[in-house]
Amino acid sequence: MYDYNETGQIMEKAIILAEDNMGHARLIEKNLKRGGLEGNVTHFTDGRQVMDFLGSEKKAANPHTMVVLLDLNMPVMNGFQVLQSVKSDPAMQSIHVVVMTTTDDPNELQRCYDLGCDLALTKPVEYTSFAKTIQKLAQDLNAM
Amino acid sequence: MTIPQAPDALRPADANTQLNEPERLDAEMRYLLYILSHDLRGPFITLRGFVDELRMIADDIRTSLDAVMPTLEPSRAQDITLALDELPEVMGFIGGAVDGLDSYMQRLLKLSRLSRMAHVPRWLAPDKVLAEIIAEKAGDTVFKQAVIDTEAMQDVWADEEALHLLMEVVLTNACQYHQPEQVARVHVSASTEDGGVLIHVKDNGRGINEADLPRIFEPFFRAGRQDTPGEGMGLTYARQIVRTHGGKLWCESQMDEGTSLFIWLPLPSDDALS
Repeated sequence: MYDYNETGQIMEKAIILAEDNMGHARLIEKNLKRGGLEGNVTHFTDGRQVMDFLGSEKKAANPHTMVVLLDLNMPVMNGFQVLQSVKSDPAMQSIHVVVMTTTDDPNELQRCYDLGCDLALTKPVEYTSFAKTIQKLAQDLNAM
Repeated sequence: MTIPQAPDALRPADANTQLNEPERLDAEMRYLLYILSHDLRGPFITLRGFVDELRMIADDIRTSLDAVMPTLEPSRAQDITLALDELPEVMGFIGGAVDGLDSYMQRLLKLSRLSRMAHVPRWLAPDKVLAEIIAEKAGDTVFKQAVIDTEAMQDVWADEEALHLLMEVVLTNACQYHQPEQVARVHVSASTEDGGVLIHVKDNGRGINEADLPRIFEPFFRAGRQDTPGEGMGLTYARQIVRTHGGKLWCESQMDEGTSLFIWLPLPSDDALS
């Protein structure tokens, strides 16, 4: 799936999209592409799948090149649990985590920052703002 | 769809907790309000997003068809053009309906948040809060065209953010609904009544019809002529804030003469202060 260097580490940026709502996932992917995102996007629909993937990849992967775009409300293992697991594991804590949630409740967003997320975004309902937010995120990810 | 997850503090109380029946029902209503307003945002994002995506797809189809239209039979080309011309209107209706629903949800969500806001009461001077609001709103047309005078007031025991919002709502209402061709004059005073502070906001506005008076605190209700912008939620928010402070809010009004809004906030007992 990825290009590896001679020490077996992933060379290019790996974007992991954790989103159980297929419609949202599609809209996010479309706008990441429109924003000019460089790198692969791998999509998972629950937190357990994300942790399994990160667990199997973490030896080979360079965590600095990995970004998880994380929805909070997911089955099996929710976004808070994924965030907590990633940020409390020394082998994974440098993976960037961007929380993308429907809520704009300041308490919930603060809880994400308290758990160590790098950025917490509210998905705007109004689509022009939604598209702008995701396209700007694509540029920020490229600059990382 | 994932089962909505409300914060634990908002979950309906179990039968074994100490809540009485009205409190339990109130907790359940607040939970329901939260679920409705919070978790419906997800489907709204999908709907709104794909309506706009569909519009972009229709534009792409139109562009592609432009090239082949001259090669088609004229009647067929006309059918295609007519069908494509319908699309913006159809999507406009869907988009508008989604926006309208979302706007209702946003207002309900705000009400739900107000009802579960963590209140940190302290002694506050309502006249100072009013002065802050007047300074903040100095640029707004509604306030520019109003004459507001406030008397010195006794401190009230309230949450600062909540008191600010409460005063903002009542002051804006008092200034906004003035009579045509007349300057809004608003007088705010306070007195000590029944172990609490009674704040009286009096305006010379157009007044509220007697039949509408019992309904003015209901969500989305707007009395009188609809010639000013508003969401019909201000006084509902105000009532919610006053309720959570254990106070009372009521209104007296005369058509074409003005309205008096009364806010009574209880003073805390010595136990509450210690």
